[in-house]
Amino acid sequence: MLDFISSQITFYLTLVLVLFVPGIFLIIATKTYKNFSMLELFVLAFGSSIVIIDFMLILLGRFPFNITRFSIIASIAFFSLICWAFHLYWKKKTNSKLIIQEQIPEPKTSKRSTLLIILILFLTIFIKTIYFKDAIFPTSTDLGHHMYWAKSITITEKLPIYEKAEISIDSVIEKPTPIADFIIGEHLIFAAIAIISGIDFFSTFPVLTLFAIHIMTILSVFVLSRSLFKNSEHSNTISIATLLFIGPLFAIASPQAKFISGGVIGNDIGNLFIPLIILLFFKALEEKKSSLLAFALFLSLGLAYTHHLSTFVFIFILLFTIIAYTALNFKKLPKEAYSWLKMCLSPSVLTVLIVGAIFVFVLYTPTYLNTSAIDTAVGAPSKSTRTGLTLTQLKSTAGEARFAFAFIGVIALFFAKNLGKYNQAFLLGWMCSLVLMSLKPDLLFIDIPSNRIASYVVYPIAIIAAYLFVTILGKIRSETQDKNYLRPAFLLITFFLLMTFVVSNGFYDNAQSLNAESSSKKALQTYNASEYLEIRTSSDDVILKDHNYLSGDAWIKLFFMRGYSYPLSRGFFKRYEDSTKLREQCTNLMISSPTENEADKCFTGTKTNFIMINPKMDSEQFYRSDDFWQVYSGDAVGIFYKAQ
Amino acid sequence: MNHKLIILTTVFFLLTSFVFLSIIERKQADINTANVWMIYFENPKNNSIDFAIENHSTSINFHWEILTDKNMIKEGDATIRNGETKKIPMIVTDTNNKKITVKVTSDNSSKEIYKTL
Repeated sequence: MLDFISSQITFYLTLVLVLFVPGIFLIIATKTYKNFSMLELFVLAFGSSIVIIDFMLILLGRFPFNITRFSIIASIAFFSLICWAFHLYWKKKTNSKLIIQEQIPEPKTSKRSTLLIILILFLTIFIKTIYFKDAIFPTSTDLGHHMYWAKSITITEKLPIYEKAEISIDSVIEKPTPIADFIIGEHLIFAAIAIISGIDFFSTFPVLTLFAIHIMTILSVFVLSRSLFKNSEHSNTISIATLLFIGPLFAIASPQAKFISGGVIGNDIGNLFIPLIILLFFKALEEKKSSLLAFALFLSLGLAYTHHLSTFVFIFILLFTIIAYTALNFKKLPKEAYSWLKMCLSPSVLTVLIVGAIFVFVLYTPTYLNTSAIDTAVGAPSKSTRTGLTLTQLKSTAGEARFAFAFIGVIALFFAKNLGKYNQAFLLGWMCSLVLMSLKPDLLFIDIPSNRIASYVVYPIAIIAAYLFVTILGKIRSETQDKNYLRPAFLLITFFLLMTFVVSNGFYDNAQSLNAESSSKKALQTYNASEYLEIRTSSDDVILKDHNYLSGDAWIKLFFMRGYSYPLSRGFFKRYEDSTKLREQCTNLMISSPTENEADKCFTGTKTNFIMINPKMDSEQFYRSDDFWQVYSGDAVGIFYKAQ
Repeated sequence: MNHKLIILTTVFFLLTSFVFLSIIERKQADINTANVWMIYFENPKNNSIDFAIENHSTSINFHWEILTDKNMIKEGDATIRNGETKKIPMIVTDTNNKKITVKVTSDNSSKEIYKTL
């Protein structure tokens, strides 16, 4: 019990050190605290900490320092000291006697609003916790793959080399070749937490870290909606409605809690960065502050080092925002373009761009920046899953009620001239880019799974749906003119009807997404069998496991740490029938028909001698042959050894 | 809007959730609560028939049999408590070209492992 308590305390202190301290000091050094409210600074500190830790670990990995507990803590301390020195320098230069806290603007809102926000946040965390109760045990495939790379950093104390070994057409395991599927920013933050806290990867830590990132995403969307609608008389209500639409309602379905337990790390961090970057760009352009533009570019660079799809999506959001701005403010464009250029050529922006270029071209080039990865994302859709969603599919992804409000909300936004030129452009650009990318990717020459892109749309949809929801209620009850268009009784009924539609739809969606039970029992048996093999095999042995019927199988590689492709894996059956690409068949044949000649060639070529399968699904074919010994038997896992 | 209050309560809710989930996960990660047991050869690669019964179930009484092809040549009982592993050394002679099977039963379930020597 004492071990548990001490590991918990260490973990939480590590979260504070890694996910808040660097960002707080950066905000202090750059004087950004003067431009944001406390809540905005809270999420900005969190987001920028992730980027700082990423760059810190890249530097440690590139220079002759190992990535160790001491080097990370020393780097954070060193960075914080430099930031503090900057702060003292600015303070002395401006002769300011104000303490930091006094300079943070505090928007005033009623106690009722504060309580409502707290209540919604409580519900949000509560509903997600109920879902995680049966999904907290580490079993998910994506999370297992990502944690392999994070663990490799903790073991080697170096940056990982993203490579995997494929099986050739001649049934031989080839030499490892680079892979573009993983990006360093998805793993460094987890490695840093694991190294400092010493926590085991087979624990709650990966999901809890993602959970923290997710709650920060929700808060980011909340503060962003408040900023975007600050010119509206209902700004406070719209932001609270946004929090309701993105928090407790539709709380589980993708890209919410399901993405967290599923370990879709890149998307999760991308979903945090995108609203933060939009907030920074928006404030920078509106207040004409180059330091905020530099901050936005800094976070954009962090996004580029974390997730290619999110970066790609963000580029389109920015592009569409510019188009929306141009369309809505055509006459002002030349003057505005000049002011943008002036900001871009400021020392702070140029510094970030130069440092970014040094990182990308000299220190560490993100793995996806190669021709083949770009080729796979750009061009005509190559698969049926990439040709765009139907409107019904998009509605289902976005949540029916939210979608209905947002659909009309976009039209209302076009005529909402009082919102502000940038506010309107960012909202329309964000929404329209994602809807078009999801529904008609061929128009934009995008070749990415459409459902992955559609998962990004829930955030602008929540904001715009909240805007329309509040606008409707505001229009039928005009406080300023002291005039109701409906009788108070009808007004109340309208409010409750709208609320019932949204809330019932949102909670129905939550109920549909809950797990029946935890998969921990089966996964524990997989892990027990993996421990058995880990002790009794060496890297000369080649293990093949099944992905179809074993629970938690992606985590098996964390027991061995003998390469990303170790053990070999029989993938989903449809993978072997891919008409667009010639796939190796060995991993399927060696389990499905191990006694046939083709499989025999595979065993010889790959030197596979251990097979892990679910005995209820795949043991018969091995029983029939004298070549295989069953050396391990459990309810959910069987291990066979190829003796001859 | 009292931002400090919102931040503090969010941190408190998250912390409570984290501790709750950690306690739940700790229980789920304990294989002794999974009610499973498994058998395996101590050395999977050589001709040794030494085997082990690893018990994480509520059963404690296990019966094992050694079969050469389909003929039983040895048998025995073992009492193994939850969380314990019993290693059973085994010497079997005259094994050439024979399938040596270890069959273990407990309550109503049985498991087998085998080597063809």
